[in-house]
Amino acid sequence: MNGQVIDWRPYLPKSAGKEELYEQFKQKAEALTVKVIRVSTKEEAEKAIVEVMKEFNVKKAAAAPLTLVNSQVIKEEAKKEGIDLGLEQDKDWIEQSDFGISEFDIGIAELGTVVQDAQSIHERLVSMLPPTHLAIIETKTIVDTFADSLQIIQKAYNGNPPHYIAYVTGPSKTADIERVLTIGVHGPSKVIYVCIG
Amino acid sequence: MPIDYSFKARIEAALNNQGIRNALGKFGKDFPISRAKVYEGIDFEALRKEVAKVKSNGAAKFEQLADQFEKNLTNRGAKVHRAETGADVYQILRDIAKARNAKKVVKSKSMASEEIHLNKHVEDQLEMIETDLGEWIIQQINEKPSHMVMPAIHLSKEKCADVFSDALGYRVEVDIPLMVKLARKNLRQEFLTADIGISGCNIAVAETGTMCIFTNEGNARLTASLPPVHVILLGYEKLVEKFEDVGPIAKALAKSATAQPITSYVTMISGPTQTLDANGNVVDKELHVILLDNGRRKLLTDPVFKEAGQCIRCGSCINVCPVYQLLSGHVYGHIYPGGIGVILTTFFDGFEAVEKIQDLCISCGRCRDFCPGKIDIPNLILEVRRRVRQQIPLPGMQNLIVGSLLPKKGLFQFGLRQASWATSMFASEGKDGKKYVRNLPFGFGRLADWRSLPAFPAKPFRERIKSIKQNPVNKKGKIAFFGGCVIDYAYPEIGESLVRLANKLGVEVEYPEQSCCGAPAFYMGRQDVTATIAKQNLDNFAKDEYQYIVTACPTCTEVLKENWIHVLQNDPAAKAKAEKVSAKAIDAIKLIHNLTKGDQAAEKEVAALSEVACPNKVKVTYHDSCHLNRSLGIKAEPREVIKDIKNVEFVEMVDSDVCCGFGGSYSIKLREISKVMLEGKLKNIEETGADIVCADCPGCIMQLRGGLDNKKSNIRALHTLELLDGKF
Repeated sequence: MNGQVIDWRPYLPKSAGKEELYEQFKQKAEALTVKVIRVSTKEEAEKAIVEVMKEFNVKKAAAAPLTLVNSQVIKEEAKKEGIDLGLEQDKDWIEQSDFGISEFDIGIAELGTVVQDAQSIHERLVSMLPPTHLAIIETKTIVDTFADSLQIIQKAYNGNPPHYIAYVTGPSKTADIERVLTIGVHGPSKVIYVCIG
Repeated sequence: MPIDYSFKARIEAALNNQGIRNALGKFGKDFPISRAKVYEGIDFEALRKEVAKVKSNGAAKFEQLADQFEKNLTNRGAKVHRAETGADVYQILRDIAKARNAKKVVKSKSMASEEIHLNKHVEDQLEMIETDLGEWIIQQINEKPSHMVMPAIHLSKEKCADVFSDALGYRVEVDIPLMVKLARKNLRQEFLTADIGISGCNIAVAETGTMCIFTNEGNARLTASLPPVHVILLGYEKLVEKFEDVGPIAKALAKSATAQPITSYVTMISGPTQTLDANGNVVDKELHVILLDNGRRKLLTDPVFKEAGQCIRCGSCINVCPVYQLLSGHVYGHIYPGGIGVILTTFFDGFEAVEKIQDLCISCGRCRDFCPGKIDIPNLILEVRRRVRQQIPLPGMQNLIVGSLLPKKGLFQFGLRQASWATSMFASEGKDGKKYVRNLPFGFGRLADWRSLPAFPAKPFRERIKSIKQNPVNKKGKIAFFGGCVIDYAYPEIGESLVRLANKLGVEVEYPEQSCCGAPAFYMGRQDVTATIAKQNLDNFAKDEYQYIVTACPTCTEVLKENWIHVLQNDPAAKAKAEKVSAKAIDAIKLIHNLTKGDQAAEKEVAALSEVACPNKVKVTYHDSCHLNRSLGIKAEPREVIKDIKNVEFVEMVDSDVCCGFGGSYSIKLREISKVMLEGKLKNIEETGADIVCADCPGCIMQLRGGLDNKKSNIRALHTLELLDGKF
């Protein structure tokens, strides 16, 4: 079990985070019904997350361990709005939550995708079980292509990738009945990206 | 002639199932459009070259890569199992379950598990729950998937609502979002309580031991994450060497499968992870990986079929197959439908399993254009056919005609000549002034009751050319004309038009003594017969005096250009001649285009050609013959030539490059399918409002003319040479 947590940021290509990459990322994600919110600071992000939960009428939420924002601040602010954000990594709590929050390592502009080292079961549960999922990334980590993401992973883990990597591109969907596109099968039906920076 | 009624009955039933026909017809129309859109700005040719490269590399080294993959995963704490057959997989799974006293299994989609009928063989010990929506639906009614990517595409939403109602014990409305919601709710409990999760995987990387799973619904993530055991079942053909090899496959897979840029989820698993136990404690998961052979080793080491190892299972070949669109997947009888399905089934289930279904391929070549793995699927099916015919001969009468009559030049030509008086007894004139046969006695009626057949004229082209006085204007050179059976015996007037047009452009035409090109034998799996026939023709055509060897039938052109060399590869002297012929072989329309639009064009001659052709205003549409368009790459040329004719208003039809359903003997053997394909084509022609439909293949002309005559249509089908010659 390799389990170590590695920072992907030193391995980004030079072009990462360019304005046009963010624009493309946003456009591709929005085409998939993703709500994309951009904020400048950590504090703005915390505020925006509470706002979104209010907007979605969330009662119960769950977050994986967060480093880009202060989850305690969000929990307290949310509480004022009657939202119960659970930070304990509890399966039942997560399963019963309307809203899951987690952080992703990079974004991919050409696809509107977010990518994450998902070795931790909790990282996965909050993004899989609740009907709405909010992914936080840093804008500067948005790279151009899928192939770029492979290179970053190869470099960051020195050819020894973590046991579970998750690429998420918008909501869960199916077209299995009469090819009618329907969102929200086994994963979230609504996805929100918060881009910091 | 023995007919397999169960096979024919399956075809009939599918053709009569209007629901499937509508659904797949619409899908068939929508898919190429949305696919083209998602590939916008991407160089598909370059991409599929890359895919083919990484996949063929994987296929070439699969044993070595499998060892490396196993070693890496074992070092990371996974258990790798090797399964030669389905039975091995059953046992491995039983043992894994027994060791943990596991009962309940949630399954994410795995075609390999379908292929070995896994559920059926372990359900006495394990409760197997499919979690992909389409798979879950068909599991409830004990059906097999009809498509690799969309397993329940053959079911209407009404049928799906019935399935939900029966499964849940109350009436579920015909409401797709509601059904999806119910599936989520009900299956969620199964995920949370399952003992084992089983999934397939799309790509397996040897150098890192990484397995990539592409899904949209998210069931694979839950399958991989929640139960304490994860079993991944994969075939050897999924192996690629390097982590970066994932790139091109990931770029093409969802685009070619469902016209999406990428699936909602791509999961990369490179070793066991953790999950939570019933008390919420983090515990280590077990990861088992089963590498399945089941015929794959044989496929990947076959000098010809290893090419099928480049398949990424996107299913786009199926989506664009005009035959699949009419039949759906169940007619194919096994798990993998369509063209690629025939090839895979040959290796997974044996030649017996594909003896009938390999005939379903009409060799139109459309799938080849779409395949992101750059697999020449129609060619591989011909190889399946050839090998099938080595083990299981053609039915008696067909074998006699192809094996004994076709290679005997004199006898064969004698036979064709008899067709003239034989058909003359039943022939009468159609609206276009041509003679047709519409009714045939003695149980042969069904050959002509949906498509009139041409009456064979008394004098074939080989006789007529002798009395044509050739007078080439400013003679530039001489060409040899390879007429082909249809033009020689059924439509000699097309040959006459060619001579007149060539003369106008300063070219003299010779008609060397010749036989059939051998295509019928080639396409029925008797390449040995094609070789014999090729040798009968070679000496008369491999001569220096001819600048070109011209045909007006693209199937003949392709045979002269490619297949003769191929069938004579073990005969160096004959092969050398075949290469000489190949270098000079050209389709008539291409030659005319060269002479009128190319560097060799002389204005006066071109003007003469375009003025004579058309005295009155006329609306013309064009049907792309499969072998002309796809095999020879000639698509723009006939249009440019036609558009140049004065008084012609050119109009494109929808799906101009979809097969008309002729396919030579196909339209006799599988006339039910040929008929429906023709109906679709005629509808597209009629919708243009054209007076004339042109094509450059006498086979297509036979099919189109026969269909138009049967409908008593005013639209006329002409070979482009006839239009240029003003013969209408």
